[in-house]
Amino acid sequence: MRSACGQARRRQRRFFSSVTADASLHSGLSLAEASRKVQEGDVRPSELAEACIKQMERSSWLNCFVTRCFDSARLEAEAADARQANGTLTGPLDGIPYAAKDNFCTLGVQTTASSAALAGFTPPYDSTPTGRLRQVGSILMGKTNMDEFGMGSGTLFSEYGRTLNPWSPESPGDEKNTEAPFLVPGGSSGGSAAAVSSGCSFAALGSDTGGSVRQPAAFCGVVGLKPTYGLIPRHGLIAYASSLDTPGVLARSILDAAMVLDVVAGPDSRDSTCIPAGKGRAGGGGFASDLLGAAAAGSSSSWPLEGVTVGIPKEFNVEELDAGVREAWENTARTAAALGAAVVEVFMPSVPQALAAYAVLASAEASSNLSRYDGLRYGARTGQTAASRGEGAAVGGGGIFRDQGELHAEITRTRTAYFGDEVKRRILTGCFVLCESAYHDYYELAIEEGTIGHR
Amino acid sequence: MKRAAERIIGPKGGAWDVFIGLEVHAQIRLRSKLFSRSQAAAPSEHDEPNSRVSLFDASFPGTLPVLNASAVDQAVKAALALGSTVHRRSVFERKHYFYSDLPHGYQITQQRHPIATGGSLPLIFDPAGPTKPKAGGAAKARSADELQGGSNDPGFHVPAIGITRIQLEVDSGKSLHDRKGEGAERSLVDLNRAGTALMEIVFEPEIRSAAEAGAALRSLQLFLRRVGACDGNMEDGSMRCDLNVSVRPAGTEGLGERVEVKNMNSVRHLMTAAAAEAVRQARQLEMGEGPIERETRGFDVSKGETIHLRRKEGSVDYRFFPEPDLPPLVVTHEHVEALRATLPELPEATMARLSAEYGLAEHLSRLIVCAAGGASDYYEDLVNGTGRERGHAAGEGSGPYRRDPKVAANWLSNNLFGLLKDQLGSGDSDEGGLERRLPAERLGGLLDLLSEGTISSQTAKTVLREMVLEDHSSTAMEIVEAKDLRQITDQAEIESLCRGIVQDPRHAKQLASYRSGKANLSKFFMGQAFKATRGRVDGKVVETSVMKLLQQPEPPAANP
Repeated sequence: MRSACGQARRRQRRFFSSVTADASLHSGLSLAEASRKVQEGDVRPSELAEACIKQMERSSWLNCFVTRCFDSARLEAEAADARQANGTLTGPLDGIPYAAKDNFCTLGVQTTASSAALAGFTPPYDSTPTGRLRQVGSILMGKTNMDEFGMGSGTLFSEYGRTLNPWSPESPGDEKNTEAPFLVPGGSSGGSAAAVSSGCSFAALGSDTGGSVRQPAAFCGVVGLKPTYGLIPRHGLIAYASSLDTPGVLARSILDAAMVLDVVAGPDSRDSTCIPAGKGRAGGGGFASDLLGAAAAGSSSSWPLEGVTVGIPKEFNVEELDAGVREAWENTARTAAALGAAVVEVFMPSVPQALAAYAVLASAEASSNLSRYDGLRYGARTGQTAASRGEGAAVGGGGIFRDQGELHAEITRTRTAYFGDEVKRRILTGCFVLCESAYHDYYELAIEEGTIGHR
Repeated sequence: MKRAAERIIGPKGGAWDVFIGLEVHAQIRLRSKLFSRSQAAAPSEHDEPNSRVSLFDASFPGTLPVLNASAVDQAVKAALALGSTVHRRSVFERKHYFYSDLPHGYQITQQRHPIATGGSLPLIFDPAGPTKPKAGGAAKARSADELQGGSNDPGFHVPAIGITRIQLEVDSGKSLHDRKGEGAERSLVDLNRAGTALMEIVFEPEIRSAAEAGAALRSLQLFLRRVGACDGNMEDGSMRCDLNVSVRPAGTEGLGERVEVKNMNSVRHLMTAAAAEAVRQARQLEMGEGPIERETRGFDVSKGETIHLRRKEGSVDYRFFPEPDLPPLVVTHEHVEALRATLPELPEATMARLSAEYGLAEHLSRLIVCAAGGASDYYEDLVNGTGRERGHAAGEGSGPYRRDPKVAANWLSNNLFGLLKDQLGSGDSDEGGLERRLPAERLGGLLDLLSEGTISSQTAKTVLREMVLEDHSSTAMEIVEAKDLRQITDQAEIESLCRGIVQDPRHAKQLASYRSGKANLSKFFMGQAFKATRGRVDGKVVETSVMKLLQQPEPPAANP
């Protein structure tokens, strides 16, 4: 495995040295290394935070962030410095800078899910994952860009513009060179993937409904962990498709991802769809130590992966796969075999139907979950905007709806104005498949497929 | 009670059968809401708007529903009380529509798999009216052996209305369109009620008259209050009701097209609307104004008529689908049985027991069970003495009772309920309301004075009025002493008093009339005697005495 990843590692290192030429290399450390340095007093959390801030400023051309939290990050870092000084660090993630996808609600920090509908929305509460990271002292550097409400796979459909892949071949660092053949970072957690890949943060939270952590991680050359549904609580994650939405982790190594997972995983009384305590690995914690334990046990053996079976799903080897990707895939399989693993081809016959089932279920739930954005309680509303422009809208911030028609007209104006095209497409699809006349042929069929393919 | 299907007569003289179904929304009695920890709105209290709203209630992004286990318990208890089948697995679904007081854009409800189905509601309330005594007299008191044998047959038949389903769902908020003031018109939203737990109870269309619909709703209030699942007050909205009505030519088979009438906010309105809608349908059919079409109507209270709201074909597609934020609700058999064990005695059983144990006529036990303010407990305290265990005292003749059960029942039905009628309207749900207004021991003390002969029954009524309306602390004896109301029991004293009245020159005219054959005038003299003694005499003693005097000196010619 080491040799398979070697090439990518070398490229990444070259990239970091190019963009952090005169900065300290702190932001290029792995999370595990940074953590060890903090624990041992070799580096202060505020040094890590400053390194990330510097990197975020240098990388602003990537457009990884919707909101940057430099002020609060510095305050949090100072507090962590104090804990480091008096020996009261809470654990391995104390004082470690991280980023969160902009669909995780963050107390006092604007959270938009990259939608104009939520411009200016500042949650009065923390999501469970960001709350748990706050609890252990991790430093929130900013909120990362994404496809609006998670709907997309290129971080292209954002109210705040597209995010670029740090691995774009042309002139990284040149803000004026916008014509260069930039690469997409994948999506919808493209901002998180690009932020971790470019050294803006040591790890980032993402969310995966239909590949939104795994795919951008692959595109940006970082580790993307999409855990089992229900392992990381969804409380505070702005819903796209509730039965599929899975908070995940983007990091620079598997160990880094496991260290974050240790903190954010585990049941939450505010999310009824969590894996209950005592079932499987629901208790959270222990992922990183298990990993280290296994690595230690394997290091003395010349067949460290002996006893491990690696399945290669036949259905994933599609014709359209890029030759270079196929080659890397095959190399990795060979490496695993060389380290003692049994590599076998496996069949997942429901995979061809999975995409169709996903499209139906996700859009159905999206159409429902996004019903709340009517502009009446939070977020943007056309009536207010028109009134503030002095255009005398029929219904301003304090108008009257004389009948249901007027109310519906205002809700329609707001939703038309503030949802992006991709979101509208999925809402319409979702409304259609849930209609009485279509429910049986689409939704119920998808559920049947889903129970085979999903989970 | 005999259940008579009422037939209505159309304008051209045709007879029509009426079928009514009810859909009742009952707010579950709970401290917090169905899916959030915010305090449930108390309908009777006027809270600051939007003061009981959690982030979830206001549909803040990222918030998730967490089911309130007590709400499930309450619904299960109500379902068990109504004999419904509680399902091990039920499913919450989302029902979508846009409205300003529906923050999520959908209501969380149960559609395809409700928590309970089946069962029936016994019509404890008599559609003919709550106080009307039935011909046929007392139910037979049964022996203790019979009771302990487990037989629960009340000896009379209580008809029941079938229940289709019981489902759990959330309430919406309230929209307010404030049109006061020029240019200051505003639409306002209060989310205090949003997310409050409701049970929707859907009845089979088996109700056969408007009066029966009223009795059904009152009976439901009684059951839900008894198990503590709902306050059942329509006035403050903790219970609301829609109805559906259909008619068919009398004696034919099948059901006519049904029409829904929405948002009844009192039992009286429900009955008026049901009757008005049945008559409207009969008229339309008889006058050849076309068939009845499925539609939704409202009720115009001022005109007493139902009014068209919308056609059913134009109704919205609610796009139901299973709520993905909640796993299916599982209620285990063991849990259901544990809740069943906590159920109190249900109204039907109480009614049967009062008749069997205390020998009360059906109409009296019905009256006591249906009365507000915890009347059946109050009655048993009165009969057995407060603090004594209620029930199971039968079988030893009249010995174990501290007070005569029939006298006690009659005093409640003839005197106390009437005096407290305004204070304890039928909508009053406060258990123990009677005890609070007049402790059973105070009333008991009064009945004791009566049965000992210390006071006359006339005096007892005066003292009761005093105790209920004026003096809320003195015992009956203290009032009697203070006002000198002891009964005059000395035979000679009464006779002398009566003689004075009969021989009073001012009454010479009446005496002459009496003697010339106006026998009714004996009552005049008795009345004078009561007046002179302020009722402190036993009626029978006075009657004997007066009659003796009237007949003594000059025996009347005609009267026996």
